[in-house]
Amino acid sequence: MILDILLIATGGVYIASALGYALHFHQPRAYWRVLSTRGIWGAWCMHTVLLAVITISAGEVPLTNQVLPSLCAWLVVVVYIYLEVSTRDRSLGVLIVPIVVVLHILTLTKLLGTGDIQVTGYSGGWFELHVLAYGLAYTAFAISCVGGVMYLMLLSEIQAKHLGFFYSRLPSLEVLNQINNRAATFGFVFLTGGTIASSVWAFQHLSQFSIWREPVFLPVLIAWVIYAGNVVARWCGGWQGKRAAFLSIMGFVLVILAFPVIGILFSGPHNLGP
Amino acid sequence: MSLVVIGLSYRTAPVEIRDGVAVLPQALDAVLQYFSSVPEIAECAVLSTCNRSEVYCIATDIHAARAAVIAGWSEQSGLDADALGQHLFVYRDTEAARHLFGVACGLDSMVMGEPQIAGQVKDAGAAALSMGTSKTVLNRLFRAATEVSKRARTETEIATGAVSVSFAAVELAKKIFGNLEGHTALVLGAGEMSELTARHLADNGVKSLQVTSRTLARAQDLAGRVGGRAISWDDGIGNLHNADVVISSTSAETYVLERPHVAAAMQKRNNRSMFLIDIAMPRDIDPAVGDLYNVFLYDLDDLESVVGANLEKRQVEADKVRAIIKEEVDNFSAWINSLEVVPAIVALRGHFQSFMDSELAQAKLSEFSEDQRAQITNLMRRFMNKVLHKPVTRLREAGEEEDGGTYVAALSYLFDLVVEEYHEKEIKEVRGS
Repeated sequence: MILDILLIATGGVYIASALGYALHFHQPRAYWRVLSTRGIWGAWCMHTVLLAVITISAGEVPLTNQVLPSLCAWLVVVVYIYLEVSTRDRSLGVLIVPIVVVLHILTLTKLLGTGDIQVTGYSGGWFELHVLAYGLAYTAFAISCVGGVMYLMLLSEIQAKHLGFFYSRLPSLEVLNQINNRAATFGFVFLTGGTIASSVWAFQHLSQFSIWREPVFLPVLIAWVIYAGNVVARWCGGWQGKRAAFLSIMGFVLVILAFPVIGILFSGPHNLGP
Repeated sequence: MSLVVIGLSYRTAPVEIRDGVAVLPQALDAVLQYFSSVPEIAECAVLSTCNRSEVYCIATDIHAARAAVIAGWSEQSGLDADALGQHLFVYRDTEAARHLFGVACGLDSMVMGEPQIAGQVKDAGAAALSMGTSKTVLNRLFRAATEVSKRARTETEIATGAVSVSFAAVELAKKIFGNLEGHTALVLGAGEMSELTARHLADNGVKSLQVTSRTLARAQDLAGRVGGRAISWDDGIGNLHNADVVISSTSAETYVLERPHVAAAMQKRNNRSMFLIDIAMPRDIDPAVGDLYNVFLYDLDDLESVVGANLEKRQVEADKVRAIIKEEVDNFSAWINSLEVVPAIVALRGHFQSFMDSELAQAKLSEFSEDQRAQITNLMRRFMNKVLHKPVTRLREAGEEEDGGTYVAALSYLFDLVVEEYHEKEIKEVRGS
């Protein structure tokens, strides 16, 4: 019961905050600013309580498909709040908070009314490390993608020499490029770390046959190659700005598309839970 | 008593007259004292900028106030009083408030929405307040003007977007590079336009400003004026890859920078963004340069169209600002109207107080202790306040809705009140209660 109330209330406040960000982006007003920023802080606090309740009910941090979207959403909000406080810029929120809302709704559809929180049944430091690292990597990729989309929106206005809606609302190209660069680099580091951790854990706990049949193996490999290429192209090939933005968007779209498809088509260790 | 503004601006007076009546900051106190010494002026504040000189006052006689302003300015400038009078505008009451609010929002400025005027209005109000020449009404008016200008700037886009070519160029550079502090700018040619843009870039803290011209002496001259470093033409062109922002304004008849040259520079700088501003006529930079990866090229036409679009946008935003001003003028008028009933409230309270005092005097309270007498007095006072609370509240509301006069007349008739014009002390008493 408490879980359901918290799920709905947190989702409601996230949606209100997302609306606030959209309205503030469209027409900057003090009340939209208050709604968006206080909303995201309030929703994050409620989200923290929600995760605490889930953890207490399950007896451990349940790193299952049921709760993982919520954990990712929580991490995205932490990073976003840091960005908003450090840059005093709210424009990123217009794209990031809706991502959080979608992740929360995913959790809501799996948890609401069930009262049954699944646990993985797996244990060991490598397993937790792998999940945490992947969570951070996908959070960073989401932010990198948002930075990339905004970069392209602003660039299109500057190159068309028609300075309008985005020009007056978005931070500079340099700031967006930096967000994109740093987030993609951090994401790549965590993806690599998570892959190493998961490989170690898998070799310890699964047979070789089942490792190679693991359905997420291929998309993770592709994502790793794309983001490795992304990072090398940025730092060594001078792929700043537009090309880097495209790479980040492509990488994130692939990650987003690949995992639900695999979740639907296959079963295996990543159909986590009993 | 009326709120009135008597003034002239660039719309009504040529620059010679505006210069003549302009008040220097060091003379402002004396000017305020002069106007406040006029018997028909109860409160006054002076707003003086290069584009306008305006005297805001609370006057018992508008014609006398106007004459006093003309006389003062005529004496100060040595201009003929009749000639001055032809350039004056006079607005009163709500129109005066609307005018000041519009001025504070930059609607009446030469460049619509320019932000400096808001600070100048605030300073004018503060100067009058510190000299004691403005009191309740003008203090409230100038405070409201500052609030209106803040609302206009936060709720509309009246002050956004550059409205000069050089500012537009610098604004674009900031939109591309963010903070300009770590960046290098290169100025090609020593024309007037490049000087202005270079100066804005220097004001925005570019790390290094290099100036080059085919004549080194001219480059040195400009570099000295804008705080940059003069370099030879060959060094400037040869080190193009080090520049993040390039301003070109030479009088060359052919392109100074062509695509292969810039492409080579971009390769050397690992494709980091480069912003090229071509403000020469004929153009200095081959337009094909703009197609290179991470190169942003804006010429004079592009920048002028940006400025034009910004000005058009400000015109559109002006309507939104006028709606805010209307709202705030209505609030201010309601407040002014409520002042009309203040003397009646004071008289009514005085009337009841005198009743209470006379009844207490007639009552034989000497047999009570001091504490008991105090309790009886407090009881009577509380009773009086309760009886008067509703009528006073209704009277204030009626005052804000512009029919306070009728109620004041009715009260005067019913209670035989003598109602005089408001003064500062009464307003404070009533507002305090």
